[in-house]
Amino acid sequence: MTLDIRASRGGLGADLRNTAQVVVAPLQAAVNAVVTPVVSFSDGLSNLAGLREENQRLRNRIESLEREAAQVGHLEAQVSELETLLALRLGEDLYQLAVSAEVTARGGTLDPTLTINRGTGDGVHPGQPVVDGQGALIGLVSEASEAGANVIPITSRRAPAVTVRLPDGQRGVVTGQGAGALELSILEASDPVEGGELLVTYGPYGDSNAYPKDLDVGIVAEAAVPQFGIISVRVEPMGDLERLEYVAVIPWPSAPSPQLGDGEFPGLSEVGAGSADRGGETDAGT
Amino acid sequence: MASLRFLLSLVLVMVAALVQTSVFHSIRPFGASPDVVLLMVVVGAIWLKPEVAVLLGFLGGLLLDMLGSAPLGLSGLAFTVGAYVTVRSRDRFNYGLPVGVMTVGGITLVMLVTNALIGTLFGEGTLGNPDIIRTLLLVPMYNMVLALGFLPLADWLFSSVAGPRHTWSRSRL
Repeated sequence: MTLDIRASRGGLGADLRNTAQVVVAPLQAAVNAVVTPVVSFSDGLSNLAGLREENQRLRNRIESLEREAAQVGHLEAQVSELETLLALRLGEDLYQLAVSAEVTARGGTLDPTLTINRGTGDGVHPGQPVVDGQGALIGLVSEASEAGANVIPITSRRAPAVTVRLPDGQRGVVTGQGAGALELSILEASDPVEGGELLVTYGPYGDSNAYPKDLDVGIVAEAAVPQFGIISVRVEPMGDLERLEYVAVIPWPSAPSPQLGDGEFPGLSEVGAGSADRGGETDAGT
Repeated sequence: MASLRFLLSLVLVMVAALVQTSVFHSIRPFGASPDVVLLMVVVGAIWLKPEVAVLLGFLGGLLLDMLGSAPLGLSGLAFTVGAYVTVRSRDRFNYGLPVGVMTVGGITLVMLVTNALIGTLFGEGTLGNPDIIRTLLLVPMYNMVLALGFLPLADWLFSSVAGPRHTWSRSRL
């Protein structure tokens, strides 16, 4: 384990991991082909049974949203703006190049890693962001073999921090806190943060090039005011990692950076550094 | 016979790893899934010599590590501890199925806590996860439910394939 950590996930450890995943991937796909329809069927049955509860939950959710709409006068304008952004984003070349993939496996009991059925052969490389069907950021490719790749969810403590922008233009950093939880930290905060505010990725321009611009990251769970100029508040991730079946990998960057060693996790080094190389990628990508 | 038992245990662990990473990525009642690899390690460790049982635990954990992205050996170490605890407590499997099932639950809890502790020491922050308590409660419970079926099944399987058990674990479950 120490050897693996000191080798930065490269070398013999990475080779062993890649080999194991190449061997097991077809078996996992075969098992999934059998199990997924059964699970979907049972999910459907359980959904029928829980329809009333779900209906009540949705009603409560609507009431909550209506209250939020009343509190925030500009919400409609913001929604309209976000919808426009979403439509624009989907039209960009970068998103047209996104590689769709199926989540075929998950790590061990305490390992949040997701495995997808697309790898370097499909243009998937370590460091590339992964989004769900709604375009929300769910993680980053940590390792990729020829036919598959591992994805570290942003909720994992192993995932690199995400620089985000708030609706009022403030910038903060979102870090994973473990299963299903994120935390927003704003240093030198000037204004309070309201619950329900949408956080989007800050890049690619400015100080953070690790992610494309305006990917949905999460929603601020509760209001918070600066204490000694610092805000630290819980964030609900946008992506539902528990029920994730299909994802898209954004070619960002389109190929591994040449100066990184084998198996090195690019996202980890790029968050703080904001590599100039990505600037070139930005121009090419968009 | 000993090598046949080990081979059978290894096959069970490999199948369990496949099931764990594929089937249980979509079946996660209440946000957690059973740890079938550990269950197979426990089942195998009941029948194997102590040194071989510990080796089986390490290999099972290492296989899981290789299929995920955690540091290689993290689960390996935790499963080794799980196999060691099984070896030390396998007398309890002679007191009947209820005691055996509870022992499986205890071993699962010990392994999970070990995994979380080591993971935290190596920067995984596992103990800081908001869901860690839920995981520590649910996974042993799921394993106990599965053990209700798997312990007698394994008893039958190992008996029919590799002969009767050793004197130190002669009673049937």
